[in-house]
Amino acid sequence: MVLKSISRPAHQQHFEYEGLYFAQVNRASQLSDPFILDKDGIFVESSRSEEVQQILKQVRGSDNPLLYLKPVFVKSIKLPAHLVALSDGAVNDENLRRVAKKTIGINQQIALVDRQARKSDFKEETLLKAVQFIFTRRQPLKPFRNRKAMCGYLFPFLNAYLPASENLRIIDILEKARKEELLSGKILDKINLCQACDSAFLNFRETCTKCHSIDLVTEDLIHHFRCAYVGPASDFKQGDDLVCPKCDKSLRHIGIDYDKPSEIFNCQTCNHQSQEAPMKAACADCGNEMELSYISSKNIGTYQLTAQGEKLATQGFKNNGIDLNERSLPVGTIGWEFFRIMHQQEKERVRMTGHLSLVGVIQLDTGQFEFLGADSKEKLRQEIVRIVRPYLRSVDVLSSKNFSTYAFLLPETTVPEARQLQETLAFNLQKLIGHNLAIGSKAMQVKLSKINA
Amino acid sequence: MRPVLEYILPEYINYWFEVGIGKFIRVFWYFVIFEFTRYIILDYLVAGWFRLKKKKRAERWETARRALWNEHPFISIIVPGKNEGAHLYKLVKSLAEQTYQNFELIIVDDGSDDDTPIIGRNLAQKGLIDVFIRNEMRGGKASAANLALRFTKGKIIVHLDADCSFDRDAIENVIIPFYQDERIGAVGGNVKVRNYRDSLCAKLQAIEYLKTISVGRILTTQLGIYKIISGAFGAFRSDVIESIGGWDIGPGLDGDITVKIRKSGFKTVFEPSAVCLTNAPSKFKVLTKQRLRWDKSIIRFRVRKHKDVYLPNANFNWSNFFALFENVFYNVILDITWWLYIIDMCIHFNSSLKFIIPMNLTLYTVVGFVQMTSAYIFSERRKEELCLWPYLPLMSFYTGMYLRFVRTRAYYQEFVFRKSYDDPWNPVKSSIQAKLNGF
Repeated sequence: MVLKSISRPAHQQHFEYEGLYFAQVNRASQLSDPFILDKDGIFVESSRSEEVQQILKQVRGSDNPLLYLKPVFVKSIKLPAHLVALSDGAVNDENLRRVAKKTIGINQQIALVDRQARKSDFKEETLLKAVQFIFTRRQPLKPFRNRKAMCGYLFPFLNAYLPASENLRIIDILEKARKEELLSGKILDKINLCQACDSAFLNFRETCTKCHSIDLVTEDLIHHFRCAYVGPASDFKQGDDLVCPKCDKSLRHIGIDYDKPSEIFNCQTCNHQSQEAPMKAACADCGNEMELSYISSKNIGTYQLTAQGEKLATQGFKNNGIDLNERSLPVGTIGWEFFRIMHQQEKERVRMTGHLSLVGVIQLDTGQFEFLGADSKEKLRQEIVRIVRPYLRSVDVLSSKNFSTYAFLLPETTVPEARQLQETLAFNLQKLIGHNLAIGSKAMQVKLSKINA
Repeated sequence: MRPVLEYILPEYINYWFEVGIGKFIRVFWYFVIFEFTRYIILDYLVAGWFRLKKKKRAERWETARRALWNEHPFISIIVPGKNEGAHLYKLVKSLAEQTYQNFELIIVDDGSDDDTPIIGRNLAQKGLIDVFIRNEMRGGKASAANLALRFTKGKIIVHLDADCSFDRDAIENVIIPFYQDERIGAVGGNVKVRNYRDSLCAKLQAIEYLKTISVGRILTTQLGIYKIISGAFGAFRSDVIESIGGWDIGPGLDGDITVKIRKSGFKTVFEPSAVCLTNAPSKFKVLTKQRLRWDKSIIRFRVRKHKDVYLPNANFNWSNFFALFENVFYNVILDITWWLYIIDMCIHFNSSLKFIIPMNLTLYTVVGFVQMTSAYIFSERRKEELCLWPYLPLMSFYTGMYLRFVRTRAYYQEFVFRKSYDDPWNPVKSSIQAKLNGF
């Protein structure tokens, strides 16, 4: 059988096969036509790979589940692997039966998906798309190596509506879902990220302990058994021979006359000799040089649905009782919106009872923390909460809006006690940022005020 | 008790009154000729001399001390060892208390199979150790010390054992003598026993160290024949130690390097005020092994390796000759002589042994107390060391018998079988080469 279009207006061309209707698309602009949503699938027909790529990205990047989950097959040209992953495969005269079967399978699954599911923010939207895609395709979500992505990997389906620079957020969301047992998976790789720009393209070099130069030469240490002289191999070299500088004897046989107990690094810049050459990483993107302890690492893996993940795909968040925002709150804090409500409530209470109640705010100067990556900021947030919480009483309430803004209610604290608390918190937090990030004390403020009706 | 007081004691006293001075000397010739002259007369003559020159010595010391602080030289402290990780933190703390702080600390881990590499690297990361070097393959103490030497930058090298701790001024005091006389190439510290409360074995060694190290080495220094700088605490001029090629294969490498320095024309001195405390073996089994090793090294190094010192050649030097001769004489020759003395007694005074043995013990005990008095005069820890006095009577058995038996066994093993080359203290690969080359 030869693929034949049913005669329609140019922008509404479709193809029928065994009762299935496929929209035939050759330009991205055609995707805005609602008639496409009624079709069982899409055939992309264009000889220009850029056009095909744009069409695929537009389909998968749509907000509408009826479009982004639609089975899409590419006709006529061969695509790179990560673009193939955006489609459901190639279509040609020979594999129509298989395409039809696959389309039916996907559409059956799409019918089970909650297409009206609530998506309150980016995290929920990304996760929902991921679980729906895995559910409808009945195959795992796979990462693809890509040099243009900051972290070196792409998840084509999820990246369709995001620039490659946002990959890390996708990886974080998927990893978090794995920890929460919405997804299960196999770890394929671990990536190390620059502390400043989150790039995974790091260059690891051994450096001199004294001057941090990378111009190091490694040499074997030689131990001459006969006279107990120990020194670098260069001490012994005389042409092709090894001769002991202490006793002038020739070293003939390793294990009998001598051995090589260890290695030594010679710095060609400062001539320092050491057995230690600490490894440092330099970012290929921003040039930042860092010690290995400052590098964060992330898992890259394939993801499959768990039973809970399937439930999310079919029922959405509202029926699942899953709230990612609340789950991501640091332990010991409440959500920012909830805090605002409690603050209003406390105002009301103060107005009615005349009781003294205080509110504190910790504010970091965001400008001075710009060099931190998203991960480091989250760690800083967790650390600040960990420090602040023990100083508060059980009746006090703590919340953090983001890594730079924290607020706490002190409903049962006197003013002198609060001043003492203010000093203690300021001292400890300044120590935290001073010691770990070498940022001055002006980068952080702890303010206190009375709640007035 | 009654028969002892009524019959045995009077008979014993009566016997010694009747024998007369001539026969007394004949019977106790070994004690009178060797022990009494060496350990009583010489000790007290030197002690007297030492006392007489106290003021002048103090002036010289003060001048040297000022010269040291004026120059304030950078020195290197090296600590080679295997499986010493557990001691490293204490050592670092002890060194942090020193009055002299212009030093670098270099630790060489000689193929440890415990947590030493982890501890050492950790201390180095914290900046408590300047250089930590790890050899994956054990090479022996000499090679570890030589490796440390390679990394030193100081003008003076101080060699320590990791299990030692130091008086606050020990490092300062061990380097001051270099500013008293520029011909001094090495200075030995005063090693004392720290764990003397642990066991009888440790107590007896504490007394022995006081007598032989503290007093004995003051005496040999005064006579210019000081011949062993303890591996536990010694300081060396870096140019001197480099010129002699560092340490050679042990065991007994501390004595060996002292002789090498003396042979290269430099003086070696003992500094009693540079006090270092170390743990002595607290069990006789361990002590026996240690002493067998030490005693074998006397034959291997003093008799064999450095035999040229005794020969009239171009480099012959009387003080080096006497330094080694005194050592060999009082250890090897007198050990053989003692057995001859025993045979002499058994043959010629067999019937009087019941009077001779108690008198011998009495004499040695009295001498022990007299010797301890001289140690007391020199000591800076008199009060603490008073608890050792009740154990002095046991020293006759300890030095007179136990150590003598150990020594005899060691000399026999070394003279006949060259057993020191089989000592596991050194790796086999090094011992084989040392034996092949006659070191």
